[in-house]
Amino acid sequence: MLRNSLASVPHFYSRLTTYLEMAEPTVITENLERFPQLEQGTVSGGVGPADAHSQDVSTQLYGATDSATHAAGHADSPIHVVFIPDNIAQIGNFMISNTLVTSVIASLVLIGVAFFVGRRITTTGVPGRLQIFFESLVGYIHDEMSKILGNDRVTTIAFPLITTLFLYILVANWIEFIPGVGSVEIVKELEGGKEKILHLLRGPNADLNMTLGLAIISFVFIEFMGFRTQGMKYLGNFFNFSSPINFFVGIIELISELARLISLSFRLFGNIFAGEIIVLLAITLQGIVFDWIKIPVPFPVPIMLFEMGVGVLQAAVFALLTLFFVKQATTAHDH
Amino acid sequence: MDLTPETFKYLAAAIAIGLGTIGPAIGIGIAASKAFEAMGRNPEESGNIRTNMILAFALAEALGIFAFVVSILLIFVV
Repeated sequence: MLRNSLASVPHFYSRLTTYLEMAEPTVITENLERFPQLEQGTVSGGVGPADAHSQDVSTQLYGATDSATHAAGHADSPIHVVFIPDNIAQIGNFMISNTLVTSVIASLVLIGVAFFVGRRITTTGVPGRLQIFFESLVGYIHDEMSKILGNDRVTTIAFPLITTLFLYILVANWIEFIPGVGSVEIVKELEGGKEKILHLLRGPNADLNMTLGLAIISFVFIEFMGFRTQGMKYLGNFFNFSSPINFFVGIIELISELARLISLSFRLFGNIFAGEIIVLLAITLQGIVFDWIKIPVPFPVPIMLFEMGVGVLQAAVFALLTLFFVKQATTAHDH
Repeated sequence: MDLTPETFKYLAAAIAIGLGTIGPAIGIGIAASKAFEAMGRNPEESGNIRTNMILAFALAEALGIFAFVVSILLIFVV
């Protein structure tokens, strides 16, 4: 069963309705039915086994530190932060989460644009406006990249991957602001007449699995480029037995190389996840203010605009960092 | 208000992210101020300076991200 929980207002997460319903005392029990996991007051986390996927992590941001009112405290809170994405379907043992669906949609958007533009490119006739726009854009990025890398062979290999990373992260970040992403809900009937609400779509980069995957792609590519340009000498940067000091410097280099996986993935995840929570807070605040003065105040709008800026910036930072690390890996160190 | 282990968990997460972002904030501030100074002195090099500035931001920010990881772990895993 599909439904849109807040049909008329373009928004991010539909907690406003939950908040407004809370004015009546009956709703607390209704909430307990809608979020059965709240009743137990369980807060679990981590990248757990398959059965742990079915219960999503819910926590409240304020209130209810008293353990006696723990369950009620969860239902009281208008803010419902979901850390692990909901699984909306299953093929065999393979869980399909809502972020996976959205990331496939983002890929399809990129592939569609690429086909649409690629079909219209002429090499013989007069180029159209579309072709000039995309050719100058791609040409600009390529020129900047070759300026930074300073090596044409490396640029030829690195350019497609890094540009794709940038475009993909950009589309994945902006897809959150399309009405319907995060607001279309699936109501799943559990046994005992209870309902569980799952979101059909969610921004892909608010899922740590996604950003870690991107970071692993970038990490493997960086190491690949290092080995390709320097050969086995590249290992010498990390395992240097010429002197004790060089040995420790190499070990530190190795650790900072591995820490890139954490910092790349958590930078993107943290920014997008925090943005989601901030928009959620703004929507809740809007509900509180509406309850108070009965005038709708568009609090989330400037914040969503800011988050779109963050989306471009983080996409650019991810791509630029990959570029710098590739440059670092392909430039030989003289010890 | 009762002091339960839950309370200290949230308190620890808040302290971790609150104190952990002070250092990166100062670092990014210094990096940006120096980079803008350099751009003002040498405008034709501003493109080069800007890309290096972003790299410096990212390196300083990584420490803030570790604080974020710690507080996420405290809230959701511990």
